[in-house]
Amino acid sequence: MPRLVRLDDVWRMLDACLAGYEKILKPHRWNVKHGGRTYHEVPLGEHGRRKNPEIETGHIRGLVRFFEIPESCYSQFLDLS
Amino acid sequence: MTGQAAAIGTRYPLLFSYRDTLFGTGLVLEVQVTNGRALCVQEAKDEYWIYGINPGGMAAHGATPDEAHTAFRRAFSHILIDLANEAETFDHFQTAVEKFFNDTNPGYEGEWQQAILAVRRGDVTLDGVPMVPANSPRSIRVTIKQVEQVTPQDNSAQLQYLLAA
Repeated sequence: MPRLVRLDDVWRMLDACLAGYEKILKPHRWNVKHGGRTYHEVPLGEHGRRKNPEIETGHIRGLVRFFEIPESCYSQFLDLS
Repeated sequence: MTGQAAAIGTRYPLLFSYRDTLFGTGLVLEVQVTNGRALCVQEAKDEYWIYGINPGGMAAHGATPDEAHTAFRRAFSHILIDLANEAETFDHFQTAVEKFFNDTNPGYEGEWQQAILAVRRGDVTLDGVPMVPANSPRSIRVTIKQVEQVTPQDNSAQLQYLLAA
């Protein structure tokens, strides 16, 4: 079972570490846009959209590397190890 | 596959080729990608993640490399459907798909290159998965398909992935 993080913690991390990002709700996932680029695969959480769901950590590892967010910033909000 | 017995943290550099047939407004669309790049990482027992390099904006997981790849393939198709739903014209769709595919994940690209070296040394293999040169040319083609060109072959999803060496 993959490790999980709270989606609200992901948004808090992006608020602090990726200024000017935009989150866009799609039918089956969130998109995160920044600087003309899009990360397409932030899950809604199990059983679809819920308030502050838990999502698999790997999706967010992919996101922070895609946008080259420094570990010194994201690690204040999320444990992605 | 040897990955079942491989150490946690083992990295597998993959190349994949997919073909998707989608329906737009009054159009049948075909997206054919060749030698997309992805990195499969065993992150825990029975937990493999595939991180896209090209396309870089996606990841998927499964209990085995095959399961992770199936999830990755499915997510890829779903993203194309999202892009088709948003596009007002064929040109918009083509531009969006090419941008999605060509947008590299720089954070995993270095590890993908390192993983190739491990494959070349013979430290990493995937049973039943052929090896191909890592510098095999990458391409994407988005076309409008005429109804007369649609065949039963369009019903079968292309699921090929290979180990880059």
